[in-house]
Amino acid sequence: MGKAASWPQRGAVAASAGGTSAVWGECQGSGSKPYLAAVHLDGGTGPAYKCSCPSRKIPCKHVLGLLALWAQGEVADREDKPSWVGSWLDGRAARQARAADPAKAAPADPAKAAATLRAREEAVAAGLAELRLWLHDQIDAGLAEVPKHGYDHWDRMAKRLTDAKARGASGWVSRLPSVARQESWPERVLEHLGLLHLLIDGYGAGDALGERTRGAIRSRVGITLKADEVRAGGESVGDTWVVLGRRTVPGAEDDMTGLRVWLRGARTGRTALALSFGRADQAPTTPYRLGTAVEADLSFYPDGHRVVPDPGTELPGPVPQGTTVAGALDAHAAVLAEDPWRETWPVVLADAAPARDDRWYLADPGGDALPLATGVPRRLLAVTGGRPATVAAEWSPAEGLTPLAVWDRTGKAIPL
Amino acid sequence: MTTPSPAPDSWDLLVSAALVGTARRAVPETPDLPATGESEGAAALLDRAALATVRRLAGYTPARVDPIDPDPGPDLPEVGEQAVRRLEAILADRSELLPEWLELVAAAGLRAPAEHLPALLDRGARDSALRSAVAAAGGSRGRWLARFDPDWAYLLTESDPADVFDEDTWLHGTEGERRRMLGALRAADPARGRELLAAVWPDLRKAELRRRLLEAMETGLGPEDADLLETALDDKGANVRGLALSLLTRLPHSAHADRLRDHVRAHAGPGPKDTVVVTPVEPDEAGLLRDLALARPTGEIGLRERSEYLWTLVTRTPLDVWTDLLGTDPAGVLERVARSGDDELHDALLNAIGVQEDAVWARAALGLLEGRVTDRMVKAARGRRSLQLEPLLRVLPVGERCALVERSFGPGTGTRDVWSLLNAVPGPWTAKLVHQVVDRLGGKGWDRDQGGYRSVCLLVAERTPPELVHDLPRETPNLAAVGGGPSDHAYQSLLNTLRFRLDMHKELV
Repeated sequence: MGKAASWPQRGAVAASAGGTSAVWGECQGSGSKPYLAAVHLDGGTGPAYKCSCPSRKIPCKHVLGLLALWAQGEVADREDKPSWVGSWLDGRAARQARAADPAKAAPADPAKAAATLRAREEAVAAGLAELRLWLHDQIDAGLAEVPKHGYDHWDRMAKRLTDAKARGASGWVSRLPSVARQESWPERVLEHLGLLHLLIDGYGAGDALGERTRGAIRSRVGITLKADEVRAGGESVGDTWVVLGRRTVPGAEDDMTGLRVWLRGARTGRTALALSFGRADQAPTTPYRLGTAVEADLSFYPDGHRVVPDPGTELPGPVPQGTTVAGALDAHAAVLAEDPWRETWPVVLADAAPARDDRWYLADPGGDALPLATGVPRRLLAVTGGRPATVAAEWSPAEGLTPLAVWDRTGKAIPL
Repeated sequence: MTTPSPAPDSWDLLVSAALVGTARRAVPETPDLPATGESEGAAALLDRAALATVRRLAGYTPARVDPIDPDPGPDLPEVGEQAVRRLEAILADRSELLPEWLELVAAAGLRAPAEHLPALLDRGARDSALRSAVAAAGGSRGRWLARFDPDWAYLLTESDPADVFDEDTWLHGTEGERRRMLGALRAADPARGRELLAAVWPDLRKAELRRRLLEAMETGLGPEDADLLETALDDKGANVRGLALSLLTRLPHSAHADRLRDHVRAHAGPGPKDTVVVTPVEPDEAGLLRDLALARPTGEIGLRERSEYLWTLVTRTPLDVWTDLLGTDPAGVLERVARSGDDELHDALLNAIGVQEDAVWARAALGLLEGRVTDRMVKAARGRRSLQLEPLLRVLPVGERCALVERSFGPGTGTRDVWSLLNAVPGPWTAKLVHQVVDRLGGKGWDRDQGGYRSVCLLVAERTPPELVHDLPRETPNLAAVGGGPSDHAYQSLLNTLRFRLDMHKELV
């Protein structure tokens, strides 16, 4: 962690007044994706830290390792920087400016809001048109040089998309440098570019697509709705929502932590995703606790999955209904048909047992098995003793299963 | 990842075309994919790549892998829900109470909660002092779990009361399993265990394995084991020899012990004016280094080496040699040594008392017989000899050791001396000692030293039997004198810790 070799990409951002403004680096760990760590040193209120690792410690060991390296003079000033660093620092600067001048936080005005939205859609369309040409240029020129491109190459496009208010699309572009460092990068980069191209086409197709697909596209591009708007106009579904599990993830915005809580309707079988966010030093909160269910009318975002969290009435949670591996994959395929950009989906496997050859799996009683994204599933093994149990997990074909919760013999839910 | 591609050829063609670039290479035909709107150029390639990608994602086919063998069980019953919450609090910020919690769990015949076994096994991996307690409280589920993480392998070598000797495992098992088999056999039939170890001893190639198996001899150790231990004393491995010597030290009637007595007699004797005279110990004396498990030095023999020889010789030789040699009781021996001004010999004797766990000598050393307890103990506690106080006190029964300390500090003893003394007294403390300490907290003679006050409170919280909490004052004693603030807080957290421990005991009966 504190060794230069663990940080193939790193740099310091010089402050305009001299000295160092920020230090950043990409830590190559055991996983396929590097951890992105950065420290903002001259932010005014003491240093701020950011890291994409799941640790709740702030600063985490990656940040500390990076600082140790910097202190040893192993992190040189660098002109270019990845866009995740740039946008984080920009966001912090903007928030500081806003905090200094509260008058700029404009109040809402419906007519003005509608005009703003139209202007935004047009700006996004223009940004995406430019992105389309840029993508074509990349493919025309060939991807062979991709790993050699500096951050500037990607950053310019990502910045233009941010300026065009397409922050979601901008995020897709800024992830390219790290995609290009993964194993079998030509395939990963082409997948990434192909899906991005599909997103642009999807945005252009507009009403020709189903409502959920349109909703998914708009939110992925970066046109988001406020919770109030969803409550007012979104689909409302009443059910007993069983909490399947939760997972802390890096937030959409850069110094935020996101918390995903997955719920499943006991009567409708609907899957609901409650997202909450916290700023760097403050953990996100959620009304939902594992082992419970809530009786509530939930308002769905247009993508048909995300909901506005509503505490409802808490009840003891039953063990959720599980499926076989094949059943889970079928459900995932159906979701991809509506939202091919979806990277993760909750599955509940019934009678799933830990299995192992050169890595760990969860196997159903029929012998079908899905690989785990994690290492040894220590807590799952401890709780089940290797016996079949109901397990909720997030499924990603690229990463594997990330276990969220297991229900033990007594029906008690245990977070994983 | 075992993602079989539904269209490997098309996908591979698309990837290689994308690498070269559509400016130089035509977009490949992909008849296995649905038609796309564009038919040439970068747009067509990207459209087809997207199709192939989504098809790969949606068409994921599962692997076929056999589940692992589950824990055969059955296991001890798990602790109750309240004890689970208690453990969570301990893991979060009361680590110092973890050993006590684990011991209570094992004593109650219960097992730690399954969901927290990984965290407990991790603690054991980091802290070897916790290992046997983790093994006992982890039950058979803990041992089953330990095989899945190399960091937890230590657990597999910890003895299990349920172990039953099995010839096949003894001969062909892993190092840890063989160690456990021998331990189980020694508990049931020490003689047979010794015979089996003696039979394989010459064939054990690794010194570490010899050491670990020799460790099992500790169970059921008796005079008949001396011959095997003598063999081990000739071992090539220094750790094996050291362990053999430790075990031999517990057999004061062995031939080895007699040889050590002879060595002492050859070098020590009564001197003039009731003193003791010791002559330098030389390395080439017949068998001396071998009997002390020491390596023959390669360089010159200096003061340091001679000191080490004397220290080891005194530590390992049965203490009775001194009373015989000088014709007096232990107190007399210690006095003569003190009168001789030989600090080296004096310290070595105190060390021997702790190592040999001799209560009679411990009482003598603690000055009990002379009524000068306070001076001696405080001096010992304060000085560089403070380390020796604890082993001496440890060999005395609880009541006696606490009573001794009660008499050892008076109104004039400063905070730091009180702490040094108390720190040397293993728990659990008697009610009388606890009350005496608490009454004196912050009283006359105490330094206005918040750190010292707090340290004493921490000791009391750790070593007081928790049921005494009801008898202790709720208000901080001498609050006005200590000036509130940190000291008040320290005393109140002492009470909190005792209440916490009391609840913990009640939950694990």
